[in-house]
Amino acid sequence: MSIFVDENTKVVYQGLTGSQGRFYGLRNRDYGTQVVAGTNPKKAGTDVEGIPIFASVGDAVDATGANASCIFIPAPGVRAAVMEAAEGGVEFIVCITEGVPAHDEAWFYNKLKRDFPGVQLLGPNCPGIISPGKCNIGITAGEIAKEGGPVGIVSRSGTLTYQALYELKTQGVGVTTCVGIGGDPVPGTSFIDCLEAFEADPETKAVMMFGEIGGSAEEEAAAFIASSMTKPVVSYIAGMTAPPGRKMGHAGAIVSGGKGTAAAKMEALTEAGVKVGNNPTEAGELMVGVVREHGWI
Amino acid sequence: MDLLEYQGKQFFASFGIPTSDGQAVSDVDAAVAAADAVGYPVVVKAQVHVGGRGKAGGVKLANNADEARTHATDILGLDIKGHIVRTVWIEHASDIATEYYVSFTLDRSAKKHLGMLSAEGGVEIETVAVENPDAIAKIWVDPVDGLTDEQCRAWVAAANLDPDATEGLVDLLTKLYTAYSDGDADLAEVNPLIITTDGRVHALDAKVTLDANAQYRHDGWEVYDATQVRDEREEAAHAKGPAVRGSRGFGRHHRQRRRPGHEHAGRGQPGGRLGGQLPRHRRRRQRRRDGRGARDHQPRPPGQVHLHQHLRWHHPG
Repeated sequence: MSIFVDENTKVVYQGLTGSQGRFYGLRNRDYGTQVVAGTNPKKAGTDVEGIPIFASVGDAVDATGANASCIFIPAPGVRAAVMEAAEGGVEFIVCITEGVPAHDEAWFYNKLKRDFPGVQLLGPNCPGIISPGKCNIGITAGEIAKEGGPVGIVSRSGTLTYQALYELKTQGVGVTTCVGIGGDPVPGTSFIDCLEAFEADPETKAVMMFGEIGGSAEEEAAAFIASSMTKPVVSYIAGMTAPPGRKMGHAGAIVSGGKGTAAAKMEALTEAGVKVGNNPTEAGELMVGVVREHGWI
Repeated sequence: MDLLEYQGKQFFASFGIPTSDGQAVSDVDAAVAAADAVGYPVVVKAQVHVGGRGKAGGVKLANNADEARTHATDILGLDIKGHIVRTVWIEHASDIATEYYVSFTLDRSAKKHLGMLSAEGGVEIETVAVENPDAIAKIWVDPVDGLTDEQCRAWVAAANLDPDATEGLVDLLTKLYTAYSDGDADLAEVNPLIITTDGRVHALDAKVTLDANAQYRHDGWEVYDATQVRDEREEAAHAKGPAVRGSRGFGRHHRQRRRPGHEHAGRGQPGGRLGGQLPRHRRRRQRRRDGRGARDHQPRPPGQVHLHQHLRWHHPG
């Protein structure tokens, strides 16, 4: 089993007619994802290599039964695109776009919680989600992920997500689902949402969690792991050498007022019984060790 | 994007928040002229992106032109925690009755905006938070609702401030929230927020950080961008940033990766633009703005053609 998406997920791409949307939309379809529709109010009625274009997500849902959306809309249009997807009736929204203003993110996060509690938003500023062999929504390269299990991955960083997938694949370890929650200050899906889902998923036996500096999401995840997780967790925190007060690549990756340092996060996770690697490869090796120890491969 | 104090005050003033009038100057004669213009006594304040200016001797009161000259001379060029003072802000000194603290920022855990208000102004809020946490009244504002009048009044009451100043405070805090929210700030802090001896509420300082992701919807942020302090590496990254990302909003990892076989000469590819150079269509646009035509380009003098360019032009394939 996988979390959030599976082989029955039908995806509508908002921005499929744009260069990025088209490139990744078609790549996702080639991977095997059910890419059932695209949207563009000016190009409704046309198609992108056989994928029909609708004026809105609502129209696409009515015509195709889409239950997820993937947003490839430039940052200024993301707030409207997220609301259009929620109002259109999809249950899962993946927003890839980077550079969304933090006030917009805080606004639509709370708006969704209030008016569309059943909708799960992933991102913005994330690589998307892949359940190897079943569904790939976003910009992850499908070929670096081995299908099956027993590991679930959740990460704030795109490239580190790929690193984790690749480390495990080279060691012959499969992945149930890999979720990139994104590096922005207000991510729609948190570590805890994913950890909860992995804990409930019978096929996921262990979880790999890649965090980074800034905010307190890792500390909150550590508290959750200590109180509510039975499955082993392996972690890596990026940003050991980050200078304070600088945004390190992601809008949310900033050490401010001495808070959100990598050292503090690693300590909190270690205290919660998590095995913490000093670099992504070491984390990968720790995970492989856990999997071998339990005889899962 | 961190604003200097005077930029923060101008930012606040554009949302109707009362701040002191003044002038930002970068040499001593201009400082004295500015002091004469705003009226003595004046405060000469160093404009640097770092706290603790007062303790470092970067904030001085001047009662006349001689004192203004002395202080401006001392402060301009002063090194405050590694930041050299290039600009001073001259404003008329305020008559302070009481000092408070107020700020809005995003609470990433609660995913709501956090407002902090305290009767203990003029000192570092981190110190207050450790030594006397009860002195800080906190509210969490839902971004969808914004700061309501009712919520704001309850907040002011909870902070135990001067009851006579309630109306003025509610008005200023409402405007400050608007500046924080509509102005796309990551942080809007006033420390101290003062009540003057004649009972007015006034922002005596301004600490503002703007969300660079929102620059596309605000005119005039270029002036703030120009005063950012960056080291060499950050400057190089910044120079490339907008060229790669542009206002269309996709991130670096989208733009830099070219699909194989894609017939586009992008950055770092043969025939492509150089690092830090704008794409061709934007270079053209820039030339048009500068009043230069495409044909005004100065050809490279003979003898300076690099071998690899010669080979590419004259021996394709």
